[in-house]
Amino acid sequence: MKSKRWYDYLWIWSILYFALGFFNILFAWLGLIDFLLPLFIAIFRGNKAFCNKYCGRGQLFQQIGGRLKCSRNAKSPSFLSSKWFRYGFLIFFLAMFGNMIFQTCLVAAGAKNLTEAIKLLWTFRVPWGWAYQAGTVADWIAQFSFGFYSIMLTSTIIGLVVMVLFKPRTWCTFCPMGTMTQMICKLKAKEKIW
Amino acid sequence: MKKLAAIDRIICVACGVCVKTCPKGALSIFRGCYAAVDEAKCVGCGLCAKACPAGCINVRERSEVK
Repeated sequence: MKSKRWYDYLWIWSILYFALGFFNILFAWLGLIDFLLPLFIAIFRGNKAFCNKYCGRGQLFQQIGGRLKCSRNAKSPSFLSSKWFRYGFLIFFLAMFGNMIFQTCLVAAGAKNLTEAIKLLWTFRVPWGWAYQAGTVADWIAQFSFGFYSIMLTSTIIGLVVMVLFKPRTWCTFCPMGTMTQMICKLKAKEKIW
Repeated sequence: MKKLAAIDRIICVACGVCVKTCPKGALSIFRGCYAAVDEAKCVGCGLCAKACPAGCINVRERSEVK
């Protein structure tokens, strides 16, 4: 049994993130750490230390799927880790991210009102008004919070579904951050990306 | 030791699950690109192959891998 390091407990951060956003949506901004850190590590250090060590989401799936045995532990369909699906999902994810940024810009420009709701799976609107007191910050700051929290929650839901169906960390095979950081690392190491 | 973990580098997503699973410390992620096996340390137990979410690890006879 390997001894645990401090970063082996980062799954707690993952739970904490969603808990904080449930009470105050502005905490959603903290998710930018999970977004930018992996990219910085990949760009400047040329490795996937984030995925390998610090990703709280992956650890959470390992805890629930592995330790609590909430996973069938079955082989996942090979298309989930195929190049076209991984890059395709990355493009789709980035498009949805771009749309979220665009909505934030519209609110900032005054062309659209703030929507106090979470959008799950890019489709289902869930009222989330209790987590925000109107006027606390500029509308666009709140809009970004709702949008970003939606993305984080949606990807966790997809991750949980594939965790139950297949292996605990099946999400990692097509996680957009993982695909992006691996692509950067491969480019840096002059490996083929396709 | 007759067996060895063989990694399909094309499919590997470099998530690091195998590195955490390996009881021998025989696995590492090469520059964020794919998993690499230290052939001297690997005992061919297959724990990594079971844990790999991408299913890119196969335990093979050492003679086959060469």
